[in-house]
Amino acid sequence: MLLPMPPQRSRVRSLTLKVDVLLIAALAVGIGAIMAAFAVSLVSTRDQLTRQSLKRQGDDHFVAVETLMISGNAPQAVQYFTKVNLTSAATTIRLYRRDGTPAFSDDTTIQHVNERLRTSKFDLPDRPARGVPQPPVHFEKAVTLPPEELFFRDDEGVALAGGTAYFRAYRPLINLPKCTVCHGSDHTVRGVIDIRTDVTPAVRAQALTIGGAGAAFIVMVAILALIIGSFLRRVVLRPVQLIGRVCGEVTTGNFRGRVDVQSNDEIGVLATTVNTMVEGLRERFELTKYVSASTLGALKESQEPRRVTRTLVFTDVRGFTSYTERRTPEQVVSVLNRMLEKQSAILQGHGGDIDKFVGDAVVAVFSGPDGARRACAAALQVTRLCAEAPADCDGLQIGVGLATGSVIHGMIGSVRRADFTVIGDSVNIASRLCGIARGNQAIVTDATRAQAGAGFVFKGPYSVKLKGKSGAQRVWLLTGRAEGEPT
Amino acid sequence: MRTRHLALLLAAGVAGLAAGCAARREPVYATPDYHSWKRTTDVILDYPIPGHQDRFRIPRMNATGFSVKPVLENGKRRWDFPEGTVIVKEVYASMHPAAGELPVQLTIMVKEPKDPDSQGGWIWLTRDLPGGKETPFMGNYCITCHANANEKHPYGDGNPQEEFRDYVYFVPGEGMPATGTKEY
Repeated sequence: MLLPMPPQRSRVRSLTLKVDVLLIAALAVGIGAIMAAFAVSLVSTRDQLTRQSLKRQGDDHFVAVETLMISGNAPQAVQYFTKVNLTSAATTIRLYRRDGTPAFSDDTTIQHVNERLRTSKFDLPDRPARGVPQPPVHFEKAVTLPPEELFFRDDEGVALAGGTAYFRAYRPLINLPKCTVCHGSDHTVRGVIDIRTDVTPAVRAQALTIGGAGAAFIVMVAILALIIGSFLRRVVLRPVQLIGRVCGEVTTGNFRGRVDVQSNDEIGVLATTVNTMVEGLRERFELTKYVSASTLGALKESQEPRRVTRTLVFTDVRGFTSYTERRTPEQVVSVLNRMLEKQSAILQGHGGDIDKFVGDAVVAVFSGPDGARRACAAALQVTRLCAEAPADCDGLQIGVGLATGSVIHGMIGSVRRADFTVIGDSVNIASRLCGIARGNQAIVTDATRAQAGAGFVFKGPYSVKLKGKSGAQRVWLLTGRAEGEPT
Repeated sequence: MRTRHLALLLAAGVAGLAAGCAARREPVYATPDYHSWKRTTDVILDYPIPGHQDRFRIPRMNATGFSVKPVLENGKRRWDFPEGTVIVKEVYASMHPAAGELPVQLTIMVKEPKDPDSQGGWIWLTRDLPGGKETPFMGNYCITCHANANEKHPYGDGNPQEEFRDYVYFVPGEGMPATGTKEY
């Protein structure tokens, strides 16, 4: 029995690798997204709180400046800023004029106010005029219209490498209508309050938290991948691989393998089903040894009976009954099986289909346009079997009968047990001819001889009276191959 | 048949979305008829002020705003403009615009205390012309200046009693001659 070759696959990718990659990717993306959201939220919350704090400080300082300056108490405003800076080491507050120069650093503003009021209302502290320093970074945005409150990071170096991280806020000072009395109406922004807060400890702590969380993330992904991967390998992948292996063995004709999975889940059910299926296949494979090829073909195709032309070959061991009386059963079976095996090989070697074994007899069917020729060739070889190897036959001889004609080919029997075999007159004739053939003789009908062609030598014709047939039958003795034909 | 139903469903969704978008259209406060609204003061605003610099200005208010009535509170008047009051201040390109010249910008105050963007009960907006898009000011730039209207200030009557005037410099009936800024 030839088994179909399994389909060739160009390249098999490991399911385990795919599952591992998918698992790690899913965990990395899933947990990574949570970690990223956590980090972003942490930074955002810190920024938000710092921004709110700086905004509130800016508003408070604005009110203080507004209150002090309306009453013309610039020295108190200076003192205010000095004290505020002293109270908090982490926060520095500066006041800039709109041109970027530090407020209260010289007498420019006092001179301007006195000129505008045409008085000497405010004393000049006699401070030397300073050169115009470089305006602070991003200062322009805070003094152009509409003025914006700015909030930005202004780090000096990298906080994690010994640098300092600052959050900085600019709060524009609007030239309020009540301020215009002294300072004029020709400008909207009087100056800018600059608040700079050292957030290095917070940034470092945050970096530590995020770094720790990142490390925890990597460890967590690794552990989860290990646990889930191991679970999937044990519960899904290994059983699937086992099932695949058993199925692969089946395709090569090995039906002994079984899937050893004890789980009671879907995989377990699948494994049991596969085991049942393989057992069924094994049984059917074994059964094919006892079933003719035509039966198997009929199972694959149609089981409808049909009338066809076939050449029937019946072989039978001469004197077998008396032979069995002189031998032990073991010897009988041994010799018989050897003879049947050799006959089967010959008949099948010539394209014949072993229809059945009946005791020491073999029934074979030859089909096709050259069925009679192949049947005669096989019959000749069978008749010479015991002559050429007498030891194999233990002195026994084989008689052969051949008939060609119309037969009915189909499933014969009951629904519980049936044979796919042939019935018809030619079957009976072949059987009868086998019955009258002597050892090492092959008798063929006129039709078989006619269809076998010129490749054989026949002796005859002979007229024989067969049981069950009303008239005499014209038959021929098949004696050999024609000259030039292979023996 | 199934494809047709899907197409109808899709069309209905698109229509609903379009309707939703149309419904969310921002209101226009400086309605086209604002030119007919009365000015809030007879003062000619041809003097520079912070925020508008050297630009001529004409403030107008809708009828709702003119229905405001002061109430006495601790011996002082208090002005609370009714909801729906809209004040539109036309801002011109220069201090002395030519006859028939159009403003270049509108700044708008809308009394909507329930609006989450309101500050001091007002929404503060600007409308660039001729684009026509009204954009709210999200900072405190406007209200910082207008808070001065509730104290003594150098404009109009100067609010000598420091009445609460709801961030409006020129309340109805309190206009001053067009003399420009005033020192106090």
